[in-house]
Amino acid sequence: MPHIICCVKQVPDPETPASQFRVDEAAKKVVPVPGIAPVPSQFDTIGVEAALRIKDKTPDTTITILSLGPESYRDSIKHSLAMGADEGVLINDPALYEADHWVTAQVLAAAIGKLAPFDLVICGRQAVDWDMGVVGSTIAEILNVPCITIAKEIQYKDGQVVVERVLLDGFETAESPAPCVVTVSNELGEPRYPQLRQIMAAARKEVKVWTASDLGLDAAQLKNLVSLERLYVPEVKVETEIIDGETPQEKAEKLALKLREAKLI
Amino acid sequence: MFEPTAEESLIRDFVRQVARKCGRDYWLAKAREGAFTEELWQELAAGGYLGMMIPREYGGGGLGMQQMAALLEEMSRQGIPLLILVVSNVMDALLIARHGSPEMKERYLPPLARGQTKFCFALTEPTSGSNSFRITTLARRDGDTYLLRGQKMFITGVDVADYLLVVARTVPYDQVKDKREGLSLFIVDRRAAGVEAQAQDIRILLPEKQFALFFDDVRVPRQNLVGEEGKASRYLFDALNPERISAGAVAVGLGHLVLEKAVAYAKERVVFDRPIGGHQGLQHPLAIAKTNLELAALMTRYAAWLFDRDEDAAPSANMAKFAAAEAATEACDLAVEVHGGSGFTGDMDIITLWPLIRMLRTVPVSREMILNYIGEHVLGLPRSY
Repeated sequence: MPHIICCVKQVPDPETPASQFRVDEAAKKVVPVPGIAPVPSQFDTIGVEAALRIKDKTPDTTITILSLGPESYRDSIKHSLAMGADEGVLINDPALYEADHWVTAQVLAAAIGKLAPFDLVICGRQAVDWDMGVVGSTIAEILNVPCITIAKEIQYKDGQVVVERVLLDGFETAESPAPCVVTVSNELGEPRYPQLRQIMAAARKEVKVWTASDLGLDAAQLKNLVSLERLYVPEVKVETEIIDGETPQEKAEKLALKLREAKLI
Repeated sequence: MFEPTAEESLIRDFVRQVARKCGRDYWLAKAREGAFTEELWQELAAGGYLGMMIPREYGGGGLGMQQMAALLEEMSRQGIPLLILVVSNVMDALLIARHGSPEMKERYLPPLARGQTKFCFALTEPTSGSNSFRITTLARRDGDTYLLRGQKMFITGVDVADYLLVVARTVPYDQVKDKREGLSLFIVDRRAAGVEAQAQDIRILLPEKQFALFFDDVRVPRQNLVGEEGKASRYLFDALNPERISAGAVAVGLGHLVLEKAVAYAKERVVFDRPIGGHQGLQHPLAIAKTNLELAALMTRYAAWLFDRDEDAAPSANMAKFAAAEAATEACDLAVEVHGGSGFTGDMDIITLWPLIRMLRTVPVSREMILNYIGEHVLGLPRSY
């Protein structure tokens, strides 16, 4: 009975129009846009899809969704349950709301330890809000299990994990014994829609809620390694210069000269 | 009841996800070429959403109006409303599920839930719009069949439907003591001999067309009678209140869609050194429009909640439809105003929504008939018409 744990983070909807994106520079926080609900990070949802594809082939697989955040993160867990996952765990501890990737990975690793035995931990290659891309591999380091990153396909059979990885110029196949951590990329494909029946089942499923102390952790001892120095929206200045000329050829020639002067070509 | 149920949030998630694939651009392209949004319909079918209100024993989800209203509102907010979803899978599904014979439910509900068949609802006639009791389409008994004769107007989606749920008189209006008596409900095969459909020239951008229907002695088997002969007026409110709640949900969704466009533009568009949304002349109307939409959304939600509890939803369903249509119309007019000349361009996709939003003031029941209802039945004032 394979057990897959999928880590899911909730993020501001990346489809939010850029014009509505605001940061509070004093508080160093992104200001939530009223009326636009946060969503599960897309790469994490693709991770749930990867787990479900394994479950499609091996129906006795159990998929547990694990998330660290406030009560509102329950929505993203429910979304994953509605896709077909089996269980959900939310680590909700106000002392952890400001966790950086290091504290996050420690807490998730402790929760994964509590959920053991497990065969596979699947994370998105990065969260689509901060794009750090380190939590998955840090979890593997803490748990002392192998880690395969940026997967486009995961196969699991008889305790062996076979992963097709995305490279800059192609793909490679990597193999690892279970348990291990795999991070997934969008090349894996579209996540499935929640079915109405699964939505109804998910609505009834209990989500377990744990705090740091439930994991045997002392939140006061968990110190962030990363500190945020400044958060701001960079100013983009666009200057437009119209290249004039008698003929299209002349305009093109002048444009080419300008681009060369600017060392762009 | 103020908190959305877990199902509702997930249903909205689903709609947003579907809208990435079959979204507003897709819907507009289909509407412009006069084709039905079959791919969107199949997405809804594959997810089981078409059977949302169909009992579980007939392959549906067994959920209620609250969840359906969430689906309709979110589809509208994403700019992909489907009127036939209301007609086929809310009104007709409910009428068959509540009043059909066991054989009828077994035969029609599972394919409806799977998205394999669609139904129209044929009530309105050229000479009886708001006064449904005055319909003249007649079904005469002839052995084991009825012979259906008459005409209907403004019937949505006849070209894509497999069946028509037809309201007809089995006793003519002038022969009944009580005008409510003598109405009957029939399932009619759209391809039956004697059924003729003519597309009407309706200038609303929609993927569904409206039709005039002609019944020329159409033979309808007796087993296609839904419920008891002559008792349909009692059944109709099982469909007409959900229709009003649905119209409310669609109006709220469309209202939010256009208001969000207006607000985004009011934040961005700078005239005289500040965004136009910073001027009270626009900011206050936008705030009022938002307030009215939220109020209408609450009333729609309340009406759906009452309907799901089998309580009298008629007053709130009427108020919800009225308030939502008024709020959406106000929001759309304001969105055009905020955009100035650009508001009339196809690119902004606001004026394209105007006819549909404006229609919701008149359809499925006019604002005047709603006010008559509230005046007479809620306030206890003398009948005014």
